[in-house]
Amino acid sequence: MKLRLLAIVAVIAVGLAVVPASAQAPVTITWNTLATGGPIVADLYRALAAQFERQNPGHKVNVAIQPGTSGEQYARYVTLFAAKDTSVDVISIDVIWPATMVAAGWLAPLDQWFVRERRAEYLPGAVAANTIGGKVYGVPWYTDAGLLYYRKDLLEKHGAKVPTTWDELIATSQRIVTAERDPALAGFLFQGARIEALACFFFEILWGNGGDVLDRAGKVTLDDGKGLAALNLMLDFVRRHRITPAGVSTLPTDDTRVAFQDGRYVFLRNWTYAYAMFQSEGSKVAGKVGIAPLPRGSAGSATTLGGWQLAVSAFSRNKEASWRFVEFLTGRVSQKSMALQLSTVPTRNDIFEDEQVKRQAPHYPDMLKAVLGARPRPQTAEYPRLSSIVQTNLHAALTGLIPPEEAITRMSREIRSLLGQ
Amino acid sequence: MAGRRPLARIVLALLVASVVVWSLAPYVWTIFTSLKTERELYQFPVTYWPKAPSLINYVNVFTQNPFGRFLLNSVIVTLSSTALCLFIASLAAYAFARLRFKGREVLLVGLLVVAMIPLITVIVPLYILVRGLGLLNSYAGLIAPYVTYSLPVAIFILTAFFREIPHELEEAALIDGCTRLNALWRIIAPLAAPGLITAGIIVFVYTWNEFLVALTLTSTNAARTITVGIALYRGEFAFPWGVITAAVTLATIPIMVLILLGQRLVIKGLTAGAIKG
Amino acid sequence: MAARAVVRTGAGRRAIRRILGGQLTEGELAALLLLPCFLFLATFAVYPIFNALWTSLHTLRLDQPHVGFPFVGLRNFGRAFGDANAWHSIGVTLRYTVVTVAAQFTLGLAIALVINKMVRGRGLVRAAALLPWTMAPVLAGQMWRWLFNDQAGVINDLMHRAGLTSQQIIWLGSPALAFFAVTVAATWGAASYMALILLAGLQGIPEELYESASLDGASPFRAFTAVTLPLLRNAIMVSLVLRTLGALQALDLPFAMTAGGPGNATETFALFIYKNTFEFLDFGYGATLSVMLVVIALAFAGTYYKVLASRD
Repeated sequence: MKLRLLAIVAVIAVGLAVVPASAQAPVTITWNTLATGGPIVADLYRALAAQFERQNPGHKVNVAIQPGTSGEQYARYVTLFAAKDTSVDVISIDVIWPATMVAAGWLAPLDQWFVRERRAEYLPGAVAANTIGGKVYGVPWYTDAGLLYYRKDLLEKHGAKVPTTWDELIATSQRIVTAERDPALAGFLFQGARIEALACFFFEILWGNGGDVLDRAGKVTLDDGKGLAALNLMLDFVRRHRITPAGVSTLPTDDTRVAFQDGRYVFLRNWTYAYAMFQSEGSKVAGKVGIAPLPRGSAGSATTLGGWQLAVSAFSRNKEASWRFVEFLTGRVSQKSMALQLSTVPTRNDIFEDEQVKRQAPHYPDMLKAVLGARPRPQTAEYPRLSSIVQTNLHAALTGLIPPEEAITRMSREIRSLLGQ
Repeated sequence: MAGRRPLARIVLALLVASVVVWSLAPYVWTIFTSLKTERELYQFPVTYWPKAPSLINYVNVFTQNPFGRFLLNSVIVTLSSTALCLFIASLAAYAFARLRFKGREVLLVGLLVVAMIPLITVIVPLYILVRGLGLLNSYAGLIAPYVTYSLPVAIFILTAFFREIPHELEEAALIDGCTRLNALWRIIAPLAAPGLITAGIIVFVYTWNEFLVALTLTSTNAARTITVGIALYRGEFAFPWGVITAAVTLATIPIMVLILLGQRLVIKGLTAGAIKG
Repeated sequence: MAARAVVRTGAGRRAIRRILGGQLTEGELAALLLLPCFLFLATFAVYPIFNALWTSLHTLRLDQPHVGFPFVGLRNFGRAFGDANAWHSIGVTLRYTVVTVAAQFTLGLAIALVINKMVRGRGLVRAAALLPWTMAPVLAGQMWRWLFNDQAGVINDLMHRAGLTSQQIIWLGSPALAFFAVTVAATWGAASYMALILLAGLQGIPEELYESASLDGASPFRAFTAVTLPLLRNAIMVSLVLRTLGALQALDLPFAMTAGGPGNATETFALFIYKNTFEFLDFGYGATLSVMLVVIALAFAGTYYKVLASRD
């Protein structure tokens, strides 16, 4: 049934292709992307595309801005690619998608263009996230990581240093909250709802302890004791040290940003996007927020790599032209405009050194420090399922449905069975 | 008949008031939210009536995206789908309610299956189909699936209503020399007006609010409907409540108008029925 | 198909005359009336559904294209029967369906009766009562999540002001309360839908029946059970079937409110299907689960049919 339909579609497609095309017909590239952050973002994307068209006569770019969340965008890509759609050439993809999309055969390898010397211009962690089975399938566009936001004003007022270990963070929180005597003020907030960020925060503590979900050989090592220690620390924030309210288990990403912005917390773990919002007009914490790497565990500080990549569809009919556009969007000029106008975190080393960028965005050095060591999440084509297992069990432990030991046991068992170990 | 005794009157008034409060409270909250500035929105403790009401969110709705266009698309797609669906469904419902034919039960079960298939499982074949027909980013490409997936609901409702209409009226008409189709239009349809309006409202609202199909089958602002348009205001993490609630409030107005109009028609239909009855 | 062929042939003209003259047999007329409906359904529903059914008998992992599209018979169904998470989400969906449909029906009938008793202002109240259902579930879910927020939520604020609670309740952080909160949101959204159908049914009941019942000395309650309920039977049946179908497919609302949490306490079957299909790209398994959902729905519909239509 499907085959016959595809045959009909193919006939129609061939019929269209037979229509004679003049030799000078411009190459049209369709770029399908979310524009996270509203119209300023969409306008800049269109302006960049126009600039590319001017620099590359004979090329036209059709910017198809898509609505919704990254989950909805992913579902959209699944639909398009499952139908082997050729109407989309360049796509922007979340850092956790490449493994699955490459396994599905949806992305074109870029090695012939994105050569070694070029790759060296980008943050190594971000390039690694796009490298699968020795081939590179995407170019880092802007990056992201979990950061520690703190209230500079409160820390200064109480003579506290920026915490570098979790113990310091707990002690400082308790000290400031006790001294402030403000019933609306609490210590530390993270994303506790059952979403991807919950798994990320757990990975961050786990990596900081020297643990991991999978070892180098891909074997599950979650139940070697470090996983339990990480989960226990997370629960202790709430239950033992009481620096995090129990309601954290209901808060997704932006709700935590809102709560911190309303001045109700001393510390917050969140992604880089929150910074611009804290500084925006009308924010209660404008000018009072500092950025630091997440506190260290026994093995150091660790954070999760986030961010977006540009990739070329395996079904594109204009791969070379598509590459040129990807090259332009991830190049110096575009990344600088995005850093200056949208406060995104660049993936090119040279942008961080740029005088103009440094002047306009003095927080970039702090951010870079935090982002540089960012680690990719477990790179397996089964990541979506793995993450779902981790989220569900973490959340069950956080809401007291099951004890932490059982959460870790279940997680390990389910991931082992998922990966056939 | 109500309100003969004062106590009954008061009880009824209280009941009506609680219906209104229960239904509207979250809506009132939505409107309040749409009038607040970003800062007041998240203030703690909660504020109710905004301290400094502002229409900035409504301005943003129109300046950030072509909201008027989304609205127009939704109106066209929804009205066409509803009209077409009601027409086709009333033909089918008449057959189910009045005629004896082979395979009736099987067809009803088939309708149930259609009503029951989660759209997520058919969305990929549907996409391939609509693309094959060259109808991506077109009104027709949205209307056809909307009509199809509203048909079961509309047919169930109309069949139930047609069944309640006494056979005698129709038989009298048939004896008078009306054809069955004539009887359907002249006798049944006016009597079933409450049913047609009920089904019409349900199909209208379903189509107006549908998200997944519209998201998948449109990729240009020229073709997007309002639900997909509203999703454009959302960020990856952020959910800008002010603008979204303003957009929701605006998107609700057509539905309110429809229901108020629908109410009139229901009464008209009933009166017409009473005269004939 | 058949009808189109008939029109073209010579007999077609006679047939048209027969249609216009009302000389068709019941079966022929039924076929004619059902034709447009059939064309739409065949093109845009039957083909995709058969595609899903066919897929459910295969392995189709979009993330593993080298696996291809091998026929596996009922193995996906076997896998579902052994999948504790699938059973869990079926359990959630069944509980959700029973609770929400019962609540929606009770409340919807109450709303319909109240509005039906009104003399003036009925249109406005009816429009007001219908509004909740016109809000898209994904937005309603977001809104209710905010209303139920433990710190900045209106519900805790009101309860606190009323002196009902001394500390903030974490609504969405415990399985029972989260389930309750989602149920409240679902009931808010769909009770008005029930009310709409039941009200239309109520308005079709002739006033004389009540008058004669009251002349016979029947109490209002007796009139309700003897006149209202039997005459509402079709409307009740339709509203129950439609809401049950809706509840069994619940996806957006729980997703927007709790994302299926705490743990997976509010993960409905539709949410589970969505995850398997679009997040895990396991299309074969997703299709299998959808087929199971349809079977569950048919079981519900069959039960209603037996109970309510038996006396027809």
